[in-house]
Amino acid sequence: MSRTIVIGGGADALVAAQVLARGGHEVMVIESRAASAEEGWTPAKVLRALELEPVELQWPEPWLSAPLPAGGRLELWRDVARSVESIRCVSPKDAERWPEFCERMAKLARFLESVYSEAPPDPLSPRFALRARRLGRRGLEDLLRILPMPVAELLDDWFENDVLKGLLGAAGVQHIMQGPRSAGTAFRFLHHHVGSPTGVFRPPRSNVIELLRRLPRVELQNTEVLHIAVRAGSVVGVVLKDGRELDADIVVSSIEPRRTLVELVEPGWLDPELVRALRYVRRRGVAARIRLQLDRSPGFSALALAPSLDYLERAYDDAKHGRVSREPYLEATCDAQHRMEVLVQYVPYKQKAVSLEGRVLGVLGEHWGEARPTHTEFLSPRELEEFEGWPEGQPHHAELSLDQALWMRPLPELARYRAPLPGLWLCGPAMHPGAGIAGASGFHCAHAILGR
Amino acid sequence: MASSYELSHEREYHAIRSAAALLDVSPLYKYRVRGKDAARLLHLVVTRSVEDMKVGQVGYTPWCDAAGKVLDDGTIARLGEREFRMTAAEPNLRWLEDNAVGLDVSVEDVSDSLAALALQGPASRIILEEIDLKYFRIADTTFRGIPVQVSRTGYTGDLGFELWVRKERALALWDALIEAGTPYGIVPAGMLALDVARIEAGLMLIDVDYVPARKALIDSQTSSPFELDLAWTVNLQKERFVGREALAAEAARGPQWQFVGVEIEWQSLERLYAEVGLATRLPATAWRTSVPIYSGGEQAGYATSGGWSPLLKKYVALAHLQSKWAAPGTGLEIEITVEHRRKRAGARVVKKPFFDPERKRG
Repeated sequence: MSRTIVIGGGADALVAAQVLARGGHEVMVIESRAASAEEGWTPAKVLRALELEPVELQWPEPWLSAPLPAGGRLELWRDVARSVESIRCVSPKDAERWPEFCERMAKLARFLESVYSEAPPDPLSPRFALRARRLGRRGLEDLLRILPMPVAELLDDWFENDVLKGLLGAAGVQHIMQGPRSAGTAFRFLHHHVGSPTGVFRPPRSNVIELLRRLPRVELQNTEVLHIAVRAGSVVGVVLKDGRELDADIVVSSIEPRRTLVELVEPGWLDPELVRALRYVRRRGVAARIRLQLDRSPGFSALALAPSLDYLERAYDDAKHGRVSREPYLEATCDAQHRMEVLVQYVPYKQKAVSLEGRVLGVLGEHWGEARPTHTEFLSPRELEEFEGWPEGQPHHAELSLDQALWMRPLPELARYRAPLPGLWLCGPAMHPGAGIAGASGFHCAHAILGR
Repeated sequence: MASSYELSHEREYHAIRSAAALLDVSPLYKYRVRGKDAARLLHLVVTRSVEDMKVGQVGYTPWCDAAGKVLDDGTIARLGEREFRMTAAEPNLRWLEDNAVGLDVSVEDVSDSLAALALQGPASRIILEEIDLKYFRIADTTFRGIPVQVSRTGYTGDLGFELWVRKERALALWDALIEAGTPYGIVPAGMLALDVARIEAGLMLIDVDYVPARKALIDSQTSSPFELDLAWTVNLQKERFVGREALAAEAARGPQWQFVGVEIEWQSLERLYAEVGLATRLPATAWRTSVPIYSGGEQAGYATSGGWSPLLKKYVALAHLQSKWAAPGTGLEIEITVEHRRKRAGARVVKKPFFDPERKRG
C-alpha cells in the first residue's frame, strides 16, 4: 500500500486524496490553512466518482446587475426571457440577439466542460480532433475564431449597449493582467461560463469543499510543509515546519508549481532549464478583495461597476503601467446575511493600494442606499498572497491564458501532473483545468498516479 | 586573442617551450561567485567535487546540461571559504543564475573588469621571481608593485602561470612582465603558437574538438565528459549535479566514443608524397578541421585538430574514435590530401599528452 501525502487543503487536494484513498493508498492531507468555500464548478464525473451530494451550486438572482446612466439597473437573470426584458429597456436590438448569443456561447462552454472533465488532451491525438469535430462546422469555426479573440471584439460583434458589454466583458478579464482588448480574453469569458446554465456568465459558488471535508478515509493534518525530502533523485517524504519528518512513497502538491518545485524541493534536483521556465510562468495577481458586513440589504444581490468596455480598458491601462486603476472595475455580491464580497480590479501586486478601500466604499455607497458597513476587511494582492496562499495574489496560481492552458498548463513539461522527480505529482489551480474549476485537476492527477 | 605578434608564429611557439611567452587570455569569461552557498552552487553545476576544494586550490572541470552533455569547460579557483572564480570559454552567467535559484549566492560577471595574462614556458618561474606555487594553486601577491593573483595554470602543458589583475593595471603588468622577462627571452605569443602547444599537451578546444551542447544542432553533435576523455572529472559520488543521472547511466554502459591522441606515421606519409614525386609536406600551422580516420573499410572516427610538433618532430592529432578502436597502439589510417587527391596515411593511437615535461608539475 502506497503511503501518500497530499499538500494543501483546497478542493483539488481533497479530491486527489479521496480518489487515491479509494485506489488503495494510505493518504494524509497536510493543510496550512483551511480553504474557504470555492467559487466554481466541479465536473459531474468527479461528483459521481466521490458520490458527493447534495451539491449546491448557487448564483445570485439576478446573477448580475449594473446601474444605468439614466437611472435604474440592467439586470441579467438565469431566465433568459427575463434578461431579454431587462435588456430591451436599453437596446431592443441587443435584447433580440441575447438568446442566440447565449446558445452559441453555451455550446462552446459545453465543449470546454468536456475538455476539462479529462486530463489535458494530446494535441496530436485523433481523439481530440474528433471531439472538436463534434461541435459541427459552425461550432468549430466559432471556437477557433473566438478562443484567441479579444472579448471586446466578440461583444462588439453581437451587441451595441455599453453597459451590457461592460458587464459581460468584465468576465473576460477577471483575475488576469489583460484588458478587454487583449487577445485571448474571449477564451477567459468562455472559461467563466463553464459549468453555468445558458445565459449565466459568472461561475457559481458551491458547497463541494464542505462535502469533501465530511468524507472519511483521509487523515487531515493542520500544519505546514517546510520542504519535500528527496533522496537519490526520488521523493521520500516531507519535512514539516515543526521539524517532524513524514515518510511517503508519493507526494502530491496542490501548492503552486513554482513554489513546490523551486522552494519546497532543494535546489539541484531539477533541470535548470525547467527551473528557468517555471520562473517565467505568469502568475500576477490583479485584484484586491473587500469583505464587509452590512447592517441591511444593499438592494442588490450582485452588482458590477464596469459601465463600458472602454472603462475596463482604461482601468487596465493604469495597471499596464504599474499603477492602481484610478477608476477600478468593481464587482460586488451579497448574500442573505448581508455579507458582501467585492472584487477590486486592477490592483498590481507591487502596489500598496493605500486609500483604495475608502474610495471603493465611497463609490459602492452610492449604490447600496441606506445600508452601512459594520465591519470591513480589505486585502490587497500582497495580503491575499499572505493570507490565502495565492502567489502574487493570483487565485489561479498560474494565470489562465491560452499559452498557459490545456497541455501547456502551466508548462508543457508539467502538464501531465507528473513532476520530473520520481514520486512527486502536481495538482491545484495551476494545473489543467484549474483556474476556478474545483477538484478537477486533483481528480485527473490522482488518476494519472493510479495509472488509469 | 591575437593570432600572432610576428609574421610567423614559430618563434612564439619555441618561446613557450624553451623560454617564456606572454599571452593575453583576458577574453576568457570570468565569474565571481560569492556567498554562503557559493560552493554549493558550483558543486551543483560542475561534474567535479567543489565542496571539498581547499582555499587556494584551482580545478579544471567541464559542466553539463541535464542530458549529461558538455556545455563548456574551464577552471574554478577557490579564493575563500565563500568565494570562487570560474573561467569559461562561453558566456555562462545565465546558466549559473538558473542554477542559483533558491541559493544564497551572488554571481558577478567580471569578464570585463578583470584581465588575465598567461606567462608560460620554462623560464616563467624565474621571471616571477622564483615564485613558490604548486601546480593548480592560486595565491595573492604583487609583481613589481602591482597587486595580482597568480595561479599555476595554463593551456600549454608546460611550466606556466596565469596572472589575474584589475583591468586598470593590466597594461602596466604586461610591460613589467616583458621587462622582467626580456633577459630570459620572453616573447608575446598568440593563438597560432598556443594551438600547437595545446595539441602537444592533448588539451581540447571548445568549438574545435567538441561542440558545446547549447550550440549543437543535432544530438549526435553533443559530447559527454566520458567521450572527451574527462571521466576523471566526473564525480558520481556527489549526490546531485546537473546531468548526474545521465552520466551515471553512461558510466554503467560505457561511452561509445573516446577522445584520443593519434600519431601519423612518417614513413607512410613520406611514401604518399614520394608517389607523386614530392618531398613530404607538413602543415605550417595547426589545423582545425574534421578529418576521417579509418580502420580498413570502416570509418573508425575523425580527428578534429592536428599539426606538426616541432619539438617532438611528430605529426600528431586529437581524434574522436569509436571505443573499439580507441586503445593505445591501435593501427588506423587517416585521410591526407596529397596533390589534390585523397589518400590514407598510416596512424596509430597513442597516449595523451604527446608532450608532458616534468617541469609542468615539478
